[in-house]
Order: sequence, then structure tokens, then C-alpha cells
Amino acid sequence: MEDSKIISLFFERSEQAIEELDRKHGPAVKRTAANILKDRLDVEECVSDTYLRTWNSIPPQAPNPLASYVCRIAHNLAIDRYHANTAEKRNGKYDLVLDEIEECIPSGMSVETELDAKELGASINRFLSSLSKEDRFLFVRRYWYADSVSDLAALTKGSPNRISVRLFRLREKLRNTLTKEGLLV
Amino acid sequence: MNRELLSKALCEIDERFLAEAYRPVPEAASGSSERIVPMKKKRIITFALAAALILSLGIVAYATGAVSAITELARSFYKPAPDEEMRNERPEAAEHNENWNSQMDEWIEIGENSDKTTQSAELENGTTITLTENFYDGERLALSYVLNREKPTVDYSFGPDHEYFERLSESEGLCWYQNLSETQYLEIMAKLKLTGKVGFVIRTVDVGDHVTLADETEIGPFVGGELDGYTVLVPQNGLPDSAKGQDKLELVFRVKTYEAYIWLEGDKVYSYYPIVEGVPVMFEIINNSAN
Repeated sequence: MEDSKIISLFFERSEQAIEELDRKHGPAVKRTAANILKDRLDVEECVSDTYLRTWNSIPPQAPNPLASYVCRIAHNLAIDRYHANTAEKRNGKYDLVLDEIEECIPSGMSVETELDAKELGASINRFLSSLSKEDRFLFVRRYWYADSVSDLAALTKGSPNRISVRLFRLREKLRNTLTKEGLLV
Repeated sequence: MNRELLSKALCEIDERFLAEAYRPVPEAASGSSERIVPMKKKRIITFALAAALILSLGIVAYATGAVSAITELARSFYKPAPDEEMRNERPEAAEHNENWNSQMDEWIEIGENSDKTTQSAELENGTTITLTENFYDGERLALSYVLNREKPTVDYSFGPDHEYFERLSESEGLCWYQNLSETQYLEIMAKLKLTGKVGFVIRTVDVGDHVTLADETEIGPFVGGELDGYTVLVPQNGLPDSAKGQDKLELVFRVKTYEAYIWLEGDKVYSYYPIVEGVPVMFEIINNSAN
């Protein structure tokens, strides 16, 4: 079913909207949550919460594209739950993703204490705008969608080693950007 | 503190970037963390020895002096050393980092002791492959090479009349544009917008995945990476027995012109990747420990 028809169902407050949303975008939503959360029950709860939030936000929202909209809801919910979980419940795979991105902050430096996530996020968006489409794809897939390096290699038909090096270069570029913008002390 | 802030900042990534990077997941994969994406692997079945090569020995300075690409790549791969907090809160990640860094320490040592005499081969199509350093001590092998070649080309002569048109298969999510320049990509998109469909062939010269001994014994699979145009290869599972304890090794690379036949129609992507044979190039690697 086309996204526009699914959104129409939401506007009609038809329960079929959730069924169709799950049928079309459910796998991507589940994967987004599962890449961040380890526990199967946490993932299921995250997906349910995602659908509830989507139901509560459409209308008045009429997101286009719908796919990334629901994945964003799932991602943000999963992140909140990830940080709330104790260490033993955390996902080792996502830990590695955060370890990598944390390299953007050189040891001995820290982010400005007054800086909040929105300001840092705005800087990251400026950084992403400056990248080529291919580099941006890699960065977003790895650090937002939390794909593994081997997943990225399969998607891009490259070798995992080449992907690793490209990601390393991108992290260096991000670090330089954050330093130039004075966001690191 | 940094981790939580960074992960929450990543939540602020602009919607258009998320949409650009979005890829649908097949239903069969929804229950697992592994992605099922159809891959068109470039496979070698057989190869025939090709036309004459020009193989020359030369001592050409590495671009940055006597620096080893193997060592520099290993240094770039280094992960933060685990501290007490990491060991307590994320023992899995701490162990991973320690094991990884131990492997990189070995690569650094190998690079510092590698032979940096270069060997070059020039092919008839103007491509040059240069072995820039190598290390072989009878047990371990590592090397780096540079491939000087033309950038990928786009040929618009592909269409429904072509013999390969019937072999196209739908390839949702395929990043066919990954090796193209922005100009090439925009040109294709403009043609697609004009007529709703466009066919083209992307030709890319590269070194094949398989490196063998002269008797076709596989040396790979490899780990390694690229650094400033230098490709570093280290056999992932060690050398086969027939490659151990030798005075020298003769390694065969295959330089290939890969072809990707692409058909875009609306928002659908179709592709076909014919099997290509490579031009074999042989390099001689001397056992360092014998010197």
C-alpha cells in the first residue's frame, strides 16, 4: 500500500493504518530498534511505542516520507531505553558504534558543558551537508541506523576493510569540524 | 557524558539525510539483525593468460618517504585503550579493543620491517599496478599496492536491444552510483528525468578479490584497508602450508575491468554484472628472514 494511503487511514483513525504501517515498514522499524537494543522484549516494546507515537502524531502530521519518520521515532525511543538500561542489558554491538563516534572527541578534550544535543546535532547536520552523497550514506547508516560494517559492505558492494577506512576518515573530518566550530574544549 | 550527548545529538540528524539513507528491509530479515541484501559477487571461474605485460623493477620512493602504509594503516585503526570504567561497564567492548590493538601492534612491527622496494606492472589499457612494500618471513605475509587507473566510465549504449538486457534483475537498494562522480551521477539523473528510463554501463578497473600463488593456490581472504590510495592486504587466516617456509613467493594479482549494466526505470533499479576475467600480474616476494 502506498504511503499516502496509509496516512489517509491514520487521518480516518482506522486501525488498519497500524496494520498497513507494520506490513510495509515494520521490518525497518524493528531493525532500527534491534540495532540499538539487545533484549528482544525491549525491541518489541520499542516497536509498540513507536506505533503508538505514530498514531498520536498523525494527524496533524502528514510525514513524507513515512518510512524515515517512523524509523526516527523508533530510533529515538531505542536510544532513550538504551541509556536507561543497566550495563548488562546493553547491546555490545551498539556500544561499538558509540565507541567509534566517541573517537571524534580527542582524549583530554570534552564537549562544552553548556552545549546541548540540539546544538551538537546542528553542527553534525552542517557536517553532513558538506559530504558527498556516498559518504553521507555511510555515516548515517553506521551511526544512526547502526548498521554493522559487514552490512554496509553488502549494501555498497565494497569490502568491509574499505568501509572501515572510509568511516575512520569521516570521523576524523567530523572531529575537525567540531574543533573548528569551537565546540570542543 | 560524551557518549550520551553524542548519541542524543545524532537523534537530531535532519530528516532528509535519514530519508536519503533509508533502505527497506525484506520481511524475512525482520527477525534478525542480519540484513539480507542480494549481492552480485564478482567471481573468478577461470582465467586465461592474457597479452604481454611489461614487468619492471624499479626503486620508486614511497610518496611520503620511507613510511610504511601497513604501519600507518595499523596506527589509524588503533582503538582507545580500555580504562577501568570500560572494563567494568562494557567488558565486551574492552576485550574487543585489546585484541584489536594487539593485532595492530603486530602490523606496526611488520610495516617497520617490510621491504619497501617497489615493483610495477603496466597493462595494455594504461593501468599500472605497483607493489609498494611487502613482508614475508616464511610464516606471515603483508603487502601494499597502488593501482593507477582511469576513473570509472559511463557508457550510455546499453538498452533493450542489448544481449544482456534480458539478464537484468531487480536490485532494490543497490548503490550503483557509489564509484561515480557527482557530475556522472547528475547526468544520469537528468536523462532519467527526461525520459523516465535510462540504461548505461559503468566500467571500473580494479584488482580482483583473489590473490594466488603461481599454482593458483588462494592466499586470501584478506584483512586490511586503504590509506591515501594504498591498499594493504594481510591474509586473514594465515598462509596456506604450501606458502610457508619458502625462499620466495610468486603472487598473482588479477586486474579487472568490471562492468555493471544498469537500467533505471522510474524508481526501480535493475542490474546485471557479467563475470569478467582479469589480466594476471605476478610479483616476486622474497623471504625477509633469509636476508
